[in-house]
Amino acid sequence: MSVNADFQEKFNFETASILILEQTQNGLDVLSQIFLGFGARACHRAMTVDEAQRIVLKTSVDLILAEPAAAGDSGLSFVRWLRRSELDPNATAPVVMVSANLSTVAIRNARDAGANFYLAKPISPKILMERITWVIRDNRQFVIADTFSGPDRRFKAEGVPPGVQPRRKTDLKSKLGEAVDANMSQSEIDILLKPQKVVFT
Amino acid sequence: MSSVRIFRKENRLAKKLRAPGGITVDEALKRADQRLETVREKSLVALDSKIDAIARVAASRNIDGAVDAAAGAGEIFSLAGTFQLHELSQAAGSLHNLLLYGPQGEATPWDAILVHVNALRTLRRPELSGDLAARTAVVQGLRRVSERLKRTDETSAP
Repeated sequence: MSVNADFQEKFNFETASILILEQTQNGLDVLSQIFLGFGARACHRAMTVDEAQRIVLKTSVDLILAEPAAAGDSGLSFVRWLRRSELDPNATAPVVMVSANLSTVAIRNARDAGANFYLAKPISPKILMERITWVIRDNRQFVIADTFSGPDRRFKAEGVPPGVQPRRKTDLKSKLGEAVDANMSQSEIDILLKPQKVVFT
Repeated sequence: MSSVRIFRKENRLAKKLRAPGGITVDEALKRADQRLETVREKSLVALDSKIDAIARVAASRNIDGAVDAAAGAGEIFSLAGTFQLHELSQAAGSLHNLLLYGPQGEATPWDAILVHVNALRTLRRPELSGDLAARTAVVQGLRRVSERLKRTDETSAP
């Protein structure tokens, strides 16, 4: 379930604007130092949702890292608010949740709040760079609905049910026939639909 | 009837990161490691103070302090892992689980928590806590304690 990437690939962080919402000063220091090392110049730091909101209201950001539990569980609330904010372009900015809580509930909550990815602590520069590579290869569409706003949560390519007209251009229109090839493995499917893991080689 | 909008947004981060110039991933990782070193000492001081804070809660058997202690253990887990104090990180993770998923309230397992705190203090100084095998054995012992208490708590739940 991996996609190889090149250590010699070049990234230019100089003009990237990053927002970090973390619940501790040390957490902020760690993440911002890593981004400064990557070459980022604009690293906006917030420890409260109010601070984070003020930043996205006045500044365009290209990537957001948020601790879901920052200020209680307000990190999640911030992401929900942002996705509903209609701030252009920040409302659709990629959000990576960063947390030591890896329970299924926590990850599901982050996904349903509109996060793009979930990154497990402890953080290291290599792990963070891998996830940034996920973000820049993420080609999911953005969904705004009554109950959800965020990157498309569906990773399956299924046709619409029989007798139902397709609503989207991307919906499969014809009935799926019997499979003629061998089933793909889960890792092959993941690579086809969405990069799940990047390993620098 | 609810309305749903589905659209594709330009990946601005990808566009910026792929702009001419920049540095290789290899170089970026080296520079990030160097930058992290500038906050290592400050982070380790913070880490020590978090261990002390948990120790105070454990020594006073303050039930109200258990939530803050769990948060502190989580922070130690994260910070220690980032600075390659892996066994310390794992021990803090065990304590975090114990505080979150172990017996609560009057049944809080203070003795087990104190054992964890003492282990954290020892593992904080790898030069004093024996070789890797010894440190790993300590972490495994802590995990067993944490797991045993977690199971006990689950089986005693209504």
